[in-house]
Amino acid sequence: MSEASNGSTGEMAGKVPVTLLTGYLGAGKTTLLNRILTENHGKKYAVIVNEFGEEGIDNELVIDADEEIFEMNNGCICCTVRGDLIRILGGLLKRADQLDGILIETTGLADPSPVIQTFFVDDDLRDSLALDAIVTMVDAKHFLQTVDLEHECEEQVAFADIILLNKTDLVTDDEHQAVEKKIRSLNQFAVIHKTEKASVDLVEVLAKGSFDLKRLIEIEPGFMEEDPEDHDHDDSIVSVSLTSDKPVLPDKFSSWMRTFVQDRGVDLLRTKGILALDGHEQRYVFQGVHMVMDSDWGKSWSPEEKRQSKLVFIGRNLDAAELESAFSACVSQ
Amino acid sequence: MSAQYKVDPNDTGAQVVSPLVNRHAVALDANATDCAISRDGRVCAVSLGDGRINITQLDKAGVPTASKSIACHRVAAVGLHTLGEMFISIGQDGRAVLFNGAEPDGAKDIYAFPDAWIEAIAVSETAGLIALASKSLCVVVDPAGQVLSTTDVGSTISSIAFDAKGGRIVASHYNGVTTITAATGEVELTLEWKGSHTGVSWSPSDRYVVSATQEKELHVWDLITLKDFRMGGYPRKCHQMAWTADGETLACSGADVITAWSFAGSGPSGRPPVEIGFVFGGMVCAVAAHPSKPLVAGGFTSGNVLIGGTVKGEAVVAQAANGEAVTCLAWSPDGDVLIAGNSAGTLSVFSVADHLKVS
Repeated sequence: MSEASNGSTGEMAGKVPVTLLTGYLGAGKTTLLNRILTENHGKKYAVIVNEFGEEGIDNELVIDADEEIFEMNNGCICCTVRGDLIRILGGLLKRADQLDGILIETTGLADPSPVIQTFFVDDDLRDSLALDAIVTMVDAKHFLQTVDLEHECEEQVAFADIILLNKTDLVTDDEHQAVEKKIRSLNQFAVIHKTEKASVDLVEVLAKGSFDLKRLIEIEPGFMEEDPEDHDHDDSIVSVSLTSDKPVLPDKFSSWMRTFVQDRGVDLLRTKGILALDGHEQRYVFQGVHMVMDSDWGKSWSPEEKRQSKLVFIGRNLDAAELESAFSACVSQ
Repeated sequence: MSAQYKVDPNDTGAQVVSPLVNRHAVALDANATDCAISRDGRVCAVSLGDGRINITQLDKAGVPTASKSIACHRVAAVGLHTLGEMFISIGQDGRAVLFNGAEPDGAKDIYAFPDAWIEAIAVSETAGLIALASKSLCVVVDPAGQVLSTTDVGSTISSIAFDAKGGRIVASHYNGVTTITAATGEVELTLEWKGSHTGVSWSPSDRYVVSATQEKELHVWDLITLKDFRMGGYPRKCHQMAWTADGETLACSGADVITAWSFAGSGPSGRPPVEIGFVFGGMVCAVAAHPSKPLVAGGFTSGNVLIGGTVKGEAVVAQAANGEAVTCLAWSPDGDVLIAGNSAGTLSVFSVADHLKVS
């Protein structure tokens, strides 16, 4: 198998990067996919789609998915998995040395979590592929109308590592600010790129290593105002970030996280954390989707760095004050 | 070489077995996805991830004399089977192609699914039939490409297998397996078990259908008692299954040893499998049963190739790891040659006749 084109190290070395492209209907996903398939960027990407009507596309690189979701028999209540992706990605791995990357488009109406969980639960995929980033296209013009009505629209933003705020040419500055503020209330760690007609530099979208724990060296929570949002409905998604300058006690923290993830995994869409654990030179990095968590030792803290721990939770029914107090009970006093 | 390894039950260290010395390597320049040896034992065919088929000629002693790769599929070739003197290849371009190893340029299409991969192939030498699976369809054709039946099982098929006489086909899919009459396409039995079934096999006795599942288990249906049970404990999914020539033992991949389940007598229920190849390193990812003896070859993710006995679990011969996962194994019909393809694009041809003489 050829080295993945991003030249990354650690977890991703030798693995084929997979980008998950999501976004509500009409946000511009097809435009972006067409660019990736037709532009002369010197790379070869396979694209897994639900329906693709475009003419003139190399159809050996476009594979129809069937959206076959099944429940794992592993006791994890939120663990639904995309069987078609296991099959199709397994098939693409047979020609992995011909590919620089794989894109998976999810339909506008689908909850992306079964797609993401697929990567965490299947050993074969974990061995050979690296989930690279969840990229969400947002229609700047229509987002605010849709987001309050459609759960999926909210979830797509909540899951994202990278957000392409598309059609920014069609909105005023005020509208644009309002959209960004809403996005930040849902997701504090995503990188936002403004685009028109999906014309983002592909370097900003592909092979970013957002799920690579070795690359998780900094979380920059976006701006948040004190009272983030008037909750439109009780189960609306919020993004909560916690920080501490005091060393985190490993035993207390892991016992809290274990219980929390077990109890609240269904509500928890994404989690990312970088911790300065008491008595450890290296960063402890982790991330998760629902109940599935991945952790590793990251880069060592250098002497001039502030050993600050940061945690971001994105999910439903999250009480910032409760999380804050639970986390502060896990740090050295 | 004719040394025999005897299992020492007290030996917990690495096993010392006689090495597979007669190895010849052929460069394939692409990931090997499947392989087969012709009926006369003189041609190896290997399907490749770039869509080509490698044809390697062997002399009487099983030594490669010539090798070339020919264009066949537009994208990955994913399965290869023999039928009589011929080979059949399936690809992700939706085509099933029949060719003669001696004259591969005369290849002809026997079936094509428009815009869909062929996921699986099964061949019955006895009935002279080929079954092909794509999406939820199972199509049965003869070597001339004449369609006998088409069946939609209503769920995407992951794998198919014929029964001993070639009269029935079993297809694995979500939430169970379905048996089909080959000639008419009629659904006979729908055997349910929740979850995703990723592979299937039919015992040569026709009594058992065994599926592999996403949950890293084997699921067994006894078609006489209509009872079903699970065989588990696998650290990885089982991707390959092979029945020994006597039809009594099923060898499987998915563990750090080759697991060999005895279906003799009352079946495997309540009996642990024979484990072959402890401490070899890596996981078994490919298996192939010897055509006449109670022996099985296993290929490991570490590159090891091992031949062991399915009755006592003794390792007979092994090749040291080269770090590249073995993707496919095939025996010559006389059992004198074993071939192994790997993910780095190497075909290894082993002349094993001398190793296996005493048995």
